[in-house]
Amino acid sequence: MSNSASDEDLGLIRASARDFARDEIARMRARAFHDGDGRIDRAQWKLLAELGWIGLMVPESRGGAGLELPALAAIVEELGPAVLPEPLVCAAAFAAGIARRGDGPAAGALLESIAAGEVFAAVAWQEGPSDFPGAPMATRASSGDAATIDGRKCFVAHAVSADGFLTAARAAEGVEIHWVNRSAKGVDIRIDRTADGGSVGELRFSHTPVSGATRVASAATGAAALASAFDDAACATSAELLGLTRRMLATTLDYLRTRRQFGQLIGSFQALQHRAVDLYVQQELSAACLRDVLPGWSANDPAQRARQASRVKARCSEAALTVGREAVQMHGAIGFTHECDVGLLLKRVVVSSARHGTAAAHRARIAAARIAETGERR
Amino acid sequence: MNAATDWNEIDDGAFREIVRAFFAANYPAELRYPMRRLHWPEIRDWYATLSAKGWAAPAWPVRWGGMGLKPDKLLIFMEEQESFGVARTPDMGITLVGPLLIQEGTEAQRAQYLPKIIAGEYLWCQGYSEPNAGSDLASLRMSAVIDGDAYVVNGQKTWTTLAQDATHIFLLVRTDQAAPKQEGISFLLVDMKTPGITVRPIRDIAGHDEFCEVFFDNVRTPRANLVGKPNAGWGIAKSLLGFERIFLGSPKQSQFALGQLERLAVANGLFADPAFADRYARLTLDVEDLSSLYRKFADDVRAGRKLGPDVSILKIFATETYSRISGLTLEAAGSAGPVRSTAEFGAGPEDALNTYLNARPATIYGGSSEIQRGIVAKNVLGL
Repeated sequence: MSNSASDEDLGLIRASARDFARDEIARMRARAFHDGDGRIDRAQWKLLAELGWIGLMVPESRGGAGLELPALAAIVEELGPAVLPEPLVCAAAFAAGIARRGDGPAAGALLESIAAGEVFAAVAWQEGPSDFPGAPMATRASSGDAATIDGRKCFVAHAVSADGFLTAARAAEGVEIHWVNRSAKGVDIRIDRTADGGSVGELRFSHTPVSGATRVASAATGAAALASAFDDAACATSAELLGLTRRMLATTLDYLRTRRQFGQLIGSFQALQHRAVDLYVQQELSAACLRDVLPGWSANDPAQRARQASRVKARCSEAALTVGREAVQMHGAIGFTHECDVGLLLKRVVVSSARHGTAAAHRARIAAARIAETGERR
Repeated sequence: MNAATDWNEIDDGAFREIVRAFFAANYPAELRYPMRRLHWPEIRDWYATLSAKGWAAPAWPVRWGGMGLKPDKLLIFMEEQESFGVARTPDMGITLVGPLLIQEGTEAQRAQYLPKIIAGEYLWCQGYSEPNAGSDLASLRMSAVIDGDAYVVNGQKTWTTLAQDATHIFLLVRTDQAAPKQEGISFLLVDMKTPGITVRPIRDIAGHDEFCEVFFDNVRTPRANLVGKPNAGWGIAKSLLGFERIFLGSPKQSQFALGQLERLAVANGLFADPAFADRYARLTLDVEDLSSLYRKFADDVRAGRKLGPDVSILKIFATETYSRISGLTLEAAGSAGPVRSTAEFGAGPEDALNTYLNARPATIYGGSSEIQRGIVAKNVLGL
C-alpha cells in the first residue's frame, strides 16, 4: 500500500534532499561524473537506497517507503541544482514503477533488489528517438519452451551501469516485459555518452532466451505498467527540470546584479531586465503547473495522468532549455567555459528535457488526444 | 436571502451556487459574453437588478450598502460573473471611488456619494492618464489651483473609459507645481455637468467608442471635493491597487478565445496540419498553466496574504497568451480573417477579426507589459 505524505512530511523530505544537494561535494561529484566513464558510483547508489529514495514508491512490504509521486518530485526538484550523477528518477519512478505494476514471477524479487540498491535496472523500451509507450514495437518475444527476445532497443538510459534491462517486447497477446541480465546470451550493447557524462545504450537482442522466470509483466499488464511508469517518470523529471531552472535563473540574476560594464551593472539594462522577467515567468509557470498536478496525481486515471505528464513535461522541458540558453548568453563568454556551473546545469537540462519525452513530443501527444476527442464529438 | 445575510458564513460551494443561480435567472441572455464594454443605456436594467438585490457593491462593507464579501468570497463572485459572461457595468464608482471614500473620504463625502453610487445615480469615470502622462503617470500636468472655496481645474485627461456615460469623474491633479513629481498630486472629485468640461469620445480600432478625451477649461469644483490630504494623491492611488489586480490576469479571456480557435480549426480541418497542431497544443498548455498560475495567486488571496509585485507576471502572461491566441485565430480563419462580423456577443468561429482587435489593448491597459516587466525586474528580481 502507498500513502500520501502530509504537507509536513513532504517538507521534511524536501529539506533532507536540500541538505544533500547543498553539500559542496555534490557539485564536485557532478563534475567528476561529467568527465568520467559514465558509470555510476555503486557505493553512492547504495547510500541513496539507504536514504529510502530509490524505493520511495515501493511498497513497504517490498522494502520501500510506500510513498507517492509528490514525495519523489520534491526530492528531485531539490536535487536538481546538484546535477546528481545517479539517475534517481529512472530507477525510483521508471524501473521500480514497472516492476511494482508487473504481474510476472520476476517482479517481486526484482522490485526488492532495486529498492535495496543492489540491482541497477535500466529500462529497454524505446525503438525510435521520439517514441512514446504505445508506439509500434518491432522487438518480439516468442512463446513456448524455447522462448526468445529478438529486436533492437535504443536510448536505454544509463545502460553502461545497468546490471540488466527491463525489456519490453511484443508477444502474441500484447507487450511483455522481461528482466534480461546484461550478460545474457545474445545481448549486444553499444554505448553512447550523453551531454552530462551519463550514457545511453543501443541494445540488440538475438535469440536472447527468456522464460516465465524472467517475466516481470505479462501481456496482460506490460503495456499499462510501462505507460504508467513512464508518465510517473516524465512528471518527476519535470520537477528535476524545475530545480535546474531555479538554479540557472538564480545564478544568472546574481551575475546581472554584480557584473559591471559601461560603468553600470548589466542588470540595469532594460533589454536584459525584460528578458530576465520572461525567464522568471517560465520558472513560475513550471512551478504552478506542477503545484496543480502533483497533489491529485495518484487519484487520476491513467489517461488523465498521461495528459498531465505531457502538460508538465512540455512546460518544464521548454522552460529549462530556454532559461539555460539565456543563462549562458547573459553570462557572456564566462558562460561558455567548462569552469562555469551554468554549462554543467545546461547539459543536464539537455539530457533531462529529452528523457521521458521532449516538449515537442509531449505536445504532439496532447494534440493527438485532442484531435481524437474533437473527431469523436463531430 | 435578505440584506442582512452574512455571505462570508456560507460555505464556498453553496455561495457559488447561489451566485450562479442568480445570474442564470436574472442576467439577460442576449447580453452574455460581450465583445466590448457596454454603455449605460444597454446595461442599466441589469445594474438596477443587482442594486435591488443588494449586490451592486460586493466588496463594500455592509454598512455602506455592500455585500461585505471577504476576498475568498469576492473571488468566487467575480469568477462566476466571468464564467457566465456577465458584462462589466460602468463600475469605477464601485471598484475605486467607493473604496477610496471609505478609506480616505470624510463622513460628508461618504454620505453624499456612496448611496448614489449603489443606486446607480452617480456613474464615475477615472481621470488618470493624460496625453503626456501614460505609462509615466506621475508626470501628469492637469492643474488644480485654489480660488476661494473652489479648486480651478485646467488641463486634459485621455483614455478615460466611458466618460461619455459618466456623471462624475475622479481626478489625479497637480496641486503643487514645485514639489517632486509624485509629491504634488491630489485626488479630486468633479461633477461632469460643471461648466468648462468637454468630452470627446475616441473611436478605437475595433470601431467602438469606449474611451474619451476630457478637456477641463477653468472648471470650478468645491474644495470639499478634495479626497484625503492635499498632495497625498499618489500614495492614495497606489493604495487602491488591491487584490482585484489579480483579475487583470484572469485566464477566462484566453480560455474563451481558445475555444473559439478550436471550433475554427475543426471547421477548417486545420488539425491535419502538424505545424498547426503543435501551435495549438502550445497555446492550450499556455492557457492551462496560466490557470495554474492564477490559482496560485488566488490561493494567496484566499489565505489572506497581500499580493506582492510578482502578481505582475500574471498580467503579462495572461494578456500575452490572449494576444498569441488571437494571432493564431486570425491566421486560422484564412481569407475569412479580415471579414468584419456584426456579432457583438459570444464570439463564434466567424469572429476572428473581433478577437484579434479586442486582444490588442489587453497588453496595454492597466500597466503595459513593458511597465509590468519593469516592475518585476526591479521589485521581484532585484535588478
